[in-house]
Amino acid sequence: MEQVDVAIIGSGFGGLGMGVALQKAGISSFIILEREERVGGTWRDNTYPGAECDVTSVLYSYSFHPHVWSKKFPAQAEILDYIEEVVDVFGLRPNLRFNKAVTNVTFDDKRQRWTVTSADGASIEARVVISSVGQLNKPAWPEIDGMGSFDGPAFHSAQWDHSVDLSGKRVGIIGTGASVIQFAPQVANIAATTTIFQRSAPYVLAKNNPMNSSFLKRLYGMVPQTQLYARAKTFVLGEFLGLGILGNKKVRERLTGLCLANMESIVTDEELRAKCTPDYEVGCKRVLFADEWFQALVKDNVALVTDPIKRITKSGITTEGGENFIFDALVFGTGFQATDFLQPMEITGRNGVSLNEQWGEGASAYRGVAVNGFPNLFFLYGPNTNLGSNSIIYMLESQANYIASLLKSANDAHLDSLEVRSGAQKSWDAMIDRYSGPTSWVSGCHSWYTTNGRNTNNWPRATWKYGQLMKDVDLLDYDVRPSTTLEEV
Amino acid sequence: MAPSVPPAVVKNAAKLIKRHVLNPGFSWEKQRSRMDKAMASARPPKAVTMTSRTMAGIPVEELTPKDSPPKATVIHVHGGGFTVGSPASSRLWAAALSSALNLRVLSPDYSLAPEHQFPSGLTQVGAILHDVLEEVGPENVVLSGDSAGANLALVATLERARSHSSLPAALVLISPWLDLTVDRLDDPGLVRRDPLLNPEWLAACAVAYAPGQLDDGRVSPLLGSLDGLPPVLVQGGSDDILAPDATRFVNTASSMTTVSYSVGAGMWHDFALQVGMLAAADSAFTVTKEFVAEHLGLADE
Repeated sequence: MEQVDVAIIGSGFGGLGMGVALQKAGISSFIILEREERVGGTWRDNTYPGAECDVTSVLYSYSFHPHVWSKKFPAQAEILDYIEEVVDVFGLRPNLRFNKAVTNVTFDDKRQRWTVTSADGASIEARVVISSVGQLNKPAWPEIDGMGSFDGPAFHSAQWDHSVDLSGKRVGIIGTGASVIQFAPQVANIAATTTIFQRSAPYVLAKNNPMNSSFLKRLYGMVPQTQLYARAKTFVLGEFLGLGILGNKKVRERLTGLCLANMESIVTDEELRAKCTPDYEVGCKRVLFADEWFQALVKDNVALVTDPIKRITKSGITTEGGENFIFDALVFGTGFQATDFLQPMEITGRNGVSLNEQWGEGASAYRGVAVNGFPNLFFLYGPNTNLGSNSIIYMLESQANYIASLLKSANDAHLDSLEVRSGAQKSWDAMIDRYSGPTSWVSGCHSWYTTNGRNTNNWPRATWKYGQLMKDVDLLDYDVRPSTTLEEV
Repeated sequence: MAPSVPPAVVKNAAKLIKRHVLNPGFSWEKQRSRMDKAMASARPPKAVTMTSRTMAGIPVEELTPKDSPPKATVIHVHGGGFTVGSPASSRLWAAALSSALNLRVLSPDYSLAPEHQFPSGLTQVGAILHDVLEEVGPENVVLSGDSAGANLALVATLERARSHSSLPAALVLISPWLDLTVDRLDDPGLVRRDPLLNPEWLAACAVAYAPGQLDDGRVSPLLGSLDGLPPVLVQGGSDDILAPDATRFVNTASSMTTVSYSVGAGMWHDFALQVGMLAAADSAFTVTKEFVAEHLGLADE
């Protein structure tokens, strides 16, 4: 069996940033296992029309590789190009292994090593495994009667079927989440009719996505500090927006007002306004940004249906109210299986304990990166590290740097393995619960942020606070095992 | 217990002790009196009562929480190369443990070498361990030790295991000295990094303690069998001159019993005792506290 020191799973923003952090820590023996044939994670998978970032682009790059974007909110293709560029600039190509869909990660108690098995049947033995599979990569399909009985083309937005031409067609779209509000307006531009089935209305703010002027691009290119300034300013704004979600009632009310005013400035029809007004607290689900969503909804050939779907038929959709809709194509914008974290990967730790089972009751990880019972296994974008506002890249970099310096510190002390102490993990969870109490995520609506009412996904404090905590790397949080030889590692 | 002293200052204090106290050029008397002076300021916190007692004919320092009756007992054996030191050497740590978990902590003031050579200190620790186990029951006792004291604690436990006598619920070994035959000069990098211990001093202590018997398994337990131990927590520093002993112990004992091991990055010999002064010592203390609570059935304290 091939042996490596460190195996990273996933080559999205997380996995590649982890590779760069390891390089910087002087750890050069690592591989990056990728399920598909190219890097990019989310930005490779989501090719639906109109796919673009909803975090301001000045924030959406690695701190170690600044980039001048063409737009305030860059489109998918430009982000994917940036990711490819990072691979080349940092020489990560030799570390990448493509078409390696990891199915099992199993700890060998005797050898104190992980066996990483992929769908092609191959196995690799690794001392350390870092999972960076993301939270939003497994398409979620709704449980509706008659799923699969539709005769025409039907696909999920994260697996967009570009061979299907939607021009002049009658298109049904299920869902009104972050993807739908981006692609539905694009579909409405070409389709004969577009019918959108909504379970609950999103809060939407104006995106205002201008091209970055050539002046701005020249300025950012020639004087990189100016972009750093814009980055800092945007980061602080994101923190302020975060306040509303994190518990400041005044900010929350103001945010609600802004979202409703945005909607009402475009939607004038009272009935449609009522449909577009959310019935839950702002921030309980993700706040969305769009400039074309409400503009599309008011078009004559676009309908927003709030009557629940009863079943999918050969020809379309029947609602609870008994209305029959005929479609030529169906698009599922029903999001991702977020709180599963790992599936379809099966992780088995010390003494045969299954992480999937352990996390079935609700995921938890010390600092979002380490779990008791799973030595030398780390996570990027793990439990409680998602953000309701602000850039996830900041979180990923904080995690990658933490893991890299922890591993370096262990190497320096001639240690072979690290397992977070259960006491440390318990204290961390207690802190998460304490800070999640006043947030709107746990206020009761159905969202991918919670499991059994406990916040398992989001970071409940200021974003910068996470960065600060992650700079404090304490080997004493871990139960350790020495290298069996005392030679320099 | 927020540490108020920067690590560099505590490290410098360790260097001063290396030069002016634990110096093989000084007589044992001079080292002992200087050590006592250095430790004179180590008064236990107000929440703890300190009593001098005698158990099995041996002087013992007893720390008990002031406000409530103790829930269980920890016996802590102090370090000092078998030749110097007293319960005062680890008093701050012992008092913190007593007050954090409501425990009685007993520190034997065992007889020192070279006046009292092997096995006299070991016999004394063994006698106190025996009496306490009989008095309160093995499930209510954790035995701990630092440096040479960890050696005595480990060997006393192994002796009981060998004779199939009752054992303490768990063992805590802080920067343990477990092989007296090793010439520490063989690892010059480590010698350079550890601010507290001098390899010549260790060699002098070894000879003072057990002349001609250094390879006896009861003097250097790493050379004997480690079979039959209760769960063990080992703590050390990556710059601890005795780190290799901890490493060897963990590698061997892990297959025989439950071993927890924690290492302070860039930390030196016995750093874990500097509770309240050193952030890393506070982290290490949290580990000890959780370990002791778990094995004395005091979880959720």
